[in-house]
Amino acid sequence: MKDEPRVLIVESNDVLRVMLFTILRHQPVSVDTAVSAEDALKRVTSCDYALVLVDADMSDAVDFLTRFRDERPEATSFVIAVRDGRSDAFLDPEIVSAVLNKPLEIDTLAELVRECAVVVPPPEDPLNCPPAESDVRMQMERGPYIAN
Amino acid sequence: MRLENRILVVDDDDAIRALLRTVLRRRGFQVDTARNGVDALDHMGARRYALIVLDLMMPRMSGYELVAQLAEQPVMTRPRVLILTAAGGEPLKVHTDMIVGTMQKPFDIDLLLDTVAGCIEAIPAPVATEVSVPVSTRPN
Repeated sequence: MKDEPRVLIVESNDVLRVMLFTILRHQPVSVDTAVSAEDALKRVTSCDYALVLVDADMSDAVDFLTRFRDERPEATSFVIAVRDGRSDAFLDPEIVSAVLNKPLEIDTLAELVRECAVVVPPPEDPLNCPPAESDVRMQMERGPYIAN
Repeated sequence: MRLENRILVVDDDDAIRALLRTVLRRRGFQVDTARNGVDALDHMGARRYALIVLDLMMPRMSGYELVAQLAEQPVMTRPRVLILTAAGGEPLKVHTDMIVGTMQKPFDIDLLLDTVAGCIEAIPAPVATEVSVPVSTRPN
């Protein structure tokens, strides 16, 4: 819904992205997804996200995080990286707050998103976001409104 | 729940506190949170904690100042402290008897949980233990 905290999933793997979207859209948050750094950058420059969940194993994940920091320095997003436990890619602590290892424990992830997204302060000058994917999906599933 | 399972998370970032509270509770710990050193001292005045998970850079009273205050307590009553720090922060190299370790942000949640569990396990059993009353002798 419009007033719920907004969450962005950045994941190039189709199965993982759909799975994460499915899990998180049932939480009290509005959810968008991005398949690449370019796609994610478009999202974060057109909307304020309380929480960004990014797959750090994506080849362009570090590029996205760096550009996110450079292009939206005022963003208040809480960024959680998801990665393979064996990965040792450097994640800038100025951008990423915590790291979750794969395979993800679904209940923990859902609770983390619920608990963290609501406490992230909104930016002072918020962007005018387009409707969230999860809200559009919900509207489509409900069908058109027909007045009696 | 044993007293040794109680942890105090001290961080000025609301989302970090929410995250740590969530994952530590899911692991079976009792968790309180504080947003700075002053708030943490208030909690510690009311309760004993086996472990303090402590951010260093905070307004009002920093982690450095809190550790300095805790170091003035008698050795036996000092809590163990696990430091969370951003790269570039001044390392805390004093009071090493109290500080069990330092983790750099962004912290790996699994590693943090294992570290906390290891710290808690390593804490010696209390000298005075609670006396349990057998069920058959309890008054009705």
